[in-house]
Amino acid sequence: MHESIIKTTAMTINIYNRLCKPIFFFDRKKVLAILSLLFCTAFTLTAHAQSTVHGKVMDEAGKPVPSASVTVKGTSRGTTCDENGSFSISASSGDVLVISFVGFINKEVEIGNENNITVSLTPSNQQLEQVIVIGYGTQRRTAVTGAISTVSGKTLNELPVISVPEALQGRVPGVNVVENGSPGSQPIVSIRGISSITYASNPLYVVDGFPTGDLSTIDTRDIESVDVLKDASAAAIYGSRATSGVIMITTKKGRRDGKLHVSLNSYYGIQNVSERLSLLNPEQFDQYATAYRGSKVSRRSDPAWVNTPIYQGANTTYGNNVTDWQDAYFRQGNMTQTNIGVSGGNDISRFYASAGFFDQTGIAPAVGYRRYNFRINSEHTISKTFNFGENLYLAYGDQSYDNNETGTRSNLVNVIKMMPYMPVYDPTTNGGYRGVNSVLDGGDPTNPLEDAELKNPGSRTTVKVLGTVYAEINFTRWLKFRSTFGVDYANSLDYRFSPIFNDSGTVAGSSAIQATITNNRSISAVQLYTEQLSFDKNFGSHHVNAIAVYEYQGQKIRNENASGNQASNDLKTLNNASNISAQTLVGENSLISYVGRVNYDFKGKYLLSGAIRRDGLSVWAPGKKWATFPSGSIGWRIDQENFMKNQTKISELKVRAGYGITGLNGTILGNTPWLVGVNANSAYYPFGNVISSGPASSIQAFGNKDLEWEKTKQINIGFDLGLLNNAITLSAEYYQRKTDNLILAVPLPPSMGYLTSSVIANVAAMKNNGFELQAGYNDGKGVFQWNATGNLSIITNNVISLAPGVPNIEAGSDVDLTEGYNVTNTAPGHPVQSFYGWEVEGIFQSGDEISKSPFQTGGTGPGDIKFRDLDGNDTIDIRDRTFLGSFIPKFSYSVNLGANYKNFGLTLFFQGVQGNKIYNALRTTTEGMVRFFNAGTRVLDAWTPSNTNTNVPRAESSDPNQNARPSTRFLEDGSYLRLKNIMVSYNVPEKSLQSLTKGTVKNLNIYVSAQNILTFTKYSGYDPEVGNRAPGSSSLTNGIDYAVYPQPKGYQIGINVNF
Amino acid sequence: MKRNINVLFIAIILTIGLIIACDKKLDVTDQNNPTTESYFKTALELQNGVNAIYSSLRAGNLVGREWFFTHDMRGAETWAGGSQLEAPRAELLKQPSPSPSNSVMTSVWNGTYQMINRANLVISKAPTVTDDPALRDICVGEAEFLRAWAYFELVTMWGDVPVYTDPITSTSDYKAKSPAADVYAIIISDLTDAVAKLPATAAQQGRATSGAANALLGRVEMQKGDYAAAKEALLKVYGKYSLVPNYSDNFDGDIKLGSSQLTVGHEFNSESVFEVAFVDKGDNNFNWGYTGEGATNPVSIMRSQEYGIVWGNVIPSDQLLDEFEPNDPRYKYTFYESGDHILTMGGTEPGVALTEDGMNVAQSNHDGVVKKRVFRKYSILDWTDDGFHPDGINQRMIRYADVLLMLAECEAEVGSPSQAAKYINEVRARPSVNMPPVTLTTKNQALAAVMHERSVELAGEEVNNIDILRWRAKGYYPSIRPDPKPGQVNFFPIPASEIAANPLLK
Repeated sequence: MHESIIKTTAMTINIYNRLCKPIFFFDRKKVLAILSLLFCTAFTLTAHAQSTVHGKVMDEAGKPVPSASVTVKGTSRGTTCDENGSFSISASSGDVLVISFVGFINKEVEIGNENNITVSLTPSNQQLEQVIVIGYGTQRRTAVTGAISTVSGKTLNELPVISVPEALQGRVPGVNVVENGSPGSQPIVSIRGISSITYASNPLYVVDGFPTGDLSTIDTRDIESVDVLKDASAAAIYGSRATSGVIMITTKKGRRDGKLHVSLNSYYGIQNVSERLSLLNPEQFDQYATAYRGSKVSRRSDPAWVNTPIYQGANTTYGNNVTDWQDAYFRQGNMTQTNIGVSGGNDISRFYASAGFFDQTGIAPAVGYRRYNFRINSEHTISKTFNFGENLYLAYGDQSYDNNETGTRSNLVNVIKMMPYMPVYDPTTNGGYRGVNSVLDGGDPTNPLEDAELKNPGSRTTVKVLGTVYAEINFTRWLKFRSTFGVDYANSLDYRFSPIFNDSGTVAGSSAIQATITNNRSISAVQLYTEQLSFDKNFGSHHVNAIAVYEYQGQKIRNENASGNQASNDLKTLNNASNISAQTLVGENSLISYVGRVNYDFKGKYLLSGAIRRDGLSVWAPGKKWATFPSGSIGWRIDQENFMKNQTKISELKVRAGYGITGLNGTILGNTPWLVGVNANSAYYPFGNVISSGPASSIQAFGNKDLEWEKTKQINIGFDLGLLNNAITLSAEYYQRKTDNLILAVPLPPSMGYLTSSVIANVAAMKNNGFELQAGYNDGKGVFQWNATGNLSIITNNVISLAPGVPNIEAGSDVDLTEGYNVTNTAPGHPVQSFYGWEVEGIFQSGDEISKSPFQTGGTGPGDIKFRDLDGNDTIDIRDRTFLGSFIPKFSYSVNLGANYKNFGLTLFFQGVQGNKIYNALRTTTEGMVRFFNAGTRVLDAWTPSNTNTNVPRAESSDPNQNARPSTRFLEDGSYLRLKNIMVSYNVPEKSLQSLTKGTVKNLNIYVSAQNILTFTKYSGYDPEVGNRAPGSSSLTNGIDYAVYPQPKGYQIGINVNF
Repeated sequence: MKRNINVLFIAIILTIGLIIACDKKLDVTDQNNPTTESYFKTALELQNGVNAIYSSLRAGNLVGREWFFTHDMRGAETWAGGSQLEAPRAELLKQPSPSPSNSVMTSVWNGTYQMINRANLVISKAPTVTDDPALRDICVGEAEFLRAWAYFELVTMWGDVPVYTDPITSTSDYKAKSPAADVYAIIISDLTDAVAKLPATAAQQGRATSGAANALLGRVEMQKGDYAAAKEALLKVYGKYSLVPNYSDNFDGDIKLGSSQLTVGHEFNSESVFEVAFVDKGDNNFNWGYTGEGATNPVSIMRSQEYGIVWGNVIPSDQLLDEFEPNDPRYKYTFYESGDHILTMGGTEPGVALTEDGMNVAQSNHDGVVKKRVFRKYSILDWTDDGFHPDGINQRMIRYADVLLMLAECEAEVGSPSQAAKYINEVRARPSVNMPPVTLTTKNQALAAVMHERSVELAGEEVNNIDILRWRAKGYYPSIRPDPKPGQVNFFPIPASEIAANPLLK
């Protein structure tokens, strides 16, 4: 574009030397010689005698722009304006000065004969000028033809969160983020619906060009921006890994303004559980025990026990002790994060360096996360031809976790089940906790605090190193070659120490005779090589941008698992331990890719893009390793047309359409999913009662050599509209995604006899259709400024077909929580994993009513639930189950409001989902009355002959009618609207700041914020944000609440300082 | 200087270009496990395959936990110890037929078919093993024995079931139900072949022998209704084993608590025809994974815990208590009741008296006496009352007393009542039992005596429910005695998980 101002005159000798000599190294090859000539010419500059040029930089209104950067184009000479906007620089006639400052359009001025110039900068419309990371390159937002959403680092850091996915919640239409567990756990992220039935639909994360995982270790404060590639035409550049979308993370780089910038961000906050369940107190527990089992439990009825102190020396007895297990279990969590960043740069080099610290303790015992992280990003201009850069990130993370957080009898479940008169602690026991006696207490819960704090606390420490280095050769202004090498190394140690203890209880896990040490190490090293040739040139009104890439990414994994026993709690390592068992496992995978892409536009208004990626992945069987993923898209910038030139209202109008094929990242299936080996010596049979006398080898699964990529075809149509100089913006997208060869764990009949009861195969088809809308308003004028952004996303999901011979796939059964029945069913014509069960008709009021109704079970009695006989055969059986709804919201939305008045700022962030169902399996525990435990207060309203006007069935030992089977009884509306964040901030006025700190502090921002303080929902569980905490964790159990770690409400105070 | 840097740079970039990986990198295999092609080539590897069938047998799915529940809940010998009995077990106990989702029943279905699949693998791989033909043939015999055992469990619990005799080669190799008669044919063929291949004495205690195969063949033939064939098979076992003098020696085992060995049991004794081995490592661990896999996982059994005074999930039924003759010493060997002493350390200590309060079970009624009772058979209570402690007592699957009583039944059916009495009296004459002999003159007398003696001698040994099916089918209820479980549906429904995945069983 600015070629015209470069004059082709005689080159100076020293530039010739600098640039061309090395090229002549290859003078045997003529092509190179020609090439060298070409760009020696192109970079030719004149070098007249230099003189000092003075100048002043102003904005539109004539106010000086301090700190603007001024450089002499094509040289490393540069300076920065002073507070009056003045500068002086040595330059000669014919030189071109480049003046840049953030928020303004760069301006180039050719020096004539004058040596005092005034430059007026035009504010940039950031919306229009924004550059978007599109994978292997960037593109101006206006030229983008795919569905890409961008989130700035500023927005990303409004919430106090550990990781990028959490920060993205509600920020991008079509991106659904569901929290899933305690600090350090990864949330569930899905872009544009469920793309895979069997596998987690996590998107691909690309950090500075490096596809990586485990984002809990990446510090969000280092992030400049996040770009989400949602549709296939955008994402397909990552081909086989892009089905679930691609999240491009760009970390900060220094500014080339010749100054050092220092920033400090820090906050401290507290968190508390937001909901409590209503559970029985000791008196109510007695009442329930009498109803359920015919009598109070011994400890509450036998006078010898009622008056016994809860332990020797205690001043309460079993008769009057009260423990609120929720109070005992939940606690205040603390959270603090600090990040110091230093950045700077000039024409030669720029850098960004930071150090971060994050520390969080959870609202439940023994959970927390701590991280120390360091980053250095730098970029150097070696010469006109060569650039060199590197990104290096180091993080040390330490996650404290509760090994009994998930599963059927998680600690949260035991909080509900524990008898309310039992003490938490008992100083007379070994270990200091107290367990139940199933004889005297009538049931067998375990003490959740003991479980979390004494028996099951674990830590996962991870050292992560993510480094990339790249070198760039600029052959010409329009032809570049870039070579990148990167390593993503993670070394994590999972350590648990379970001590010797005895809590005087009688249930499984009440005591340990030996201490157990578990020491599992996992080492993963990923290598990445990217060789990329980029071409970018205008031919008149035609603009062509093309890339060709060769890429190799390989991972090597090594797991070393060891465990053993010690006879003393003082010995916490495996040194001289007994019963040592050790195992090492290795694995590797490789991905080889060839990528090509051409972006073309004519006069900047007709846009065309086509890309193709061919991937070879090691995880498939021979013959299935390679696949090709093409994509294409078109766009029309209507606002650039002549007929639009005369109107002023519409500042931007673009329509676009794209189509592409993407694949499911095969490595999530394992390194050799098609291959079944022999589990040699994987068990022992104790012939002669000698444990290791019978080594056993078996084949535990059935393999499938035909396994191949899961491919998704997607069409996307969208438009972008900007009104009133983009004060109002609107983006809408419609898409259809269809996957034909979905990989599915096809259940094998148990009669085939494999331990792994399914085999993965490409056997199903599914579609997701959706609509997304993003609207924004920005009032940037006046003292009072405000802006609003709204997101709306509508998704419909339908399974089209399943494997021949597989009419449906059921999942979610659990002995304790669902009475052994599956809760979800995946079948053609229905959304994936729809809830499935019986319909409740009412409660049987009499034996007469039972005998006149369809037969349920031999144990049905008055007060039991009457289920609907859907097939009309007069018997209630598994054929009477039906589809009850989906966990997928009909729509999800968010609203972001921001306002500034003078130095005060206010941000409100609402997020919500509507129209989804939750199967509240936790109610099996609180009111299911399947086995005897403590329960929720709802059981007091159970049906009795004198309490017939209720929807809680009778309290009957063992639930003979299976009232707690999956049915509409525990199915609830999961809609919610949540005030995710509210933040009030104050910018300390610049004047007082400058005088106060003698100019060292540039600006200071103080804020207070609160999260999740307001939730509107009808859902009765702890938290309507239900992830997937199922035992076994297949993706067919989303939206089942097996007792989730609830999202806490939190309060923070923080500061942002720039020096 | 600049020039040198440039040279260096080009060199670096070219180097990176050269170390670019080639397509060979895509050939990745599993480096942690041998492949199905390379393994099961030697007799020792084949034997490891056999050991894996045994390993499934002792898993929590089967004998380690759910198997004894399925038998005991289904028969008439037990009742719920209280509301703590989990719903699926209570359902088996109290309902005429369980729901298809019943997890206990489903576990047994899964476990038996896992044994069958592993046996099919061994049998199919055997022909390619040539290094030690003698060991190879024993392996095949053991696999056939265990496969027969598994199919017998299936056919007596579900009736018509899918039959697999080879490893599947495709995911659509699922099978429809075969008639029970065909299942019996396979069991009998397997056992006949196993008898020929198995040694009389096994190289390791716990492995199947020809005696075990004949005894099981006898049981199978009886259940099928062919008493002559049963008698023929059982007679091959007669005299090859002997009753141990002390009745209790059949239900004890090594008990360890921490590092202290409390007792050494009498496992693999002269009466034991086939037993499943468990080991108490002294810890309180159980393989809750239920599969019998994991080289370092516990190899304990839940029996004593489930039926003990602490969990008290299962108690003897009034019916069973009343079956005992008033002076039969086996009553005290089979049950504990409040007032009895436990923790007597094999009689060396005065022990601790059981109290009504100290037992977490419902009361039972024995001839009008209402008090709390639990099973003593297979219990570790004489040695430890540790609250929670899975045990290592071996499960005697077939013992010689059972063989004698089966012979007695064969005689009652196709021989002479007096010969039946002879076998019954051998059992009653055991020194520690020493009950007066019976005299039998009619077939019905003999059958009634067999019914009584089996109920008492084998109480709580997971055979009574199978006996009930056989006798019910013969019409002996109510001609000889009332049906112990009237209204019971003979066979379980096919598990829901099987129906959901096997299109031929819809």
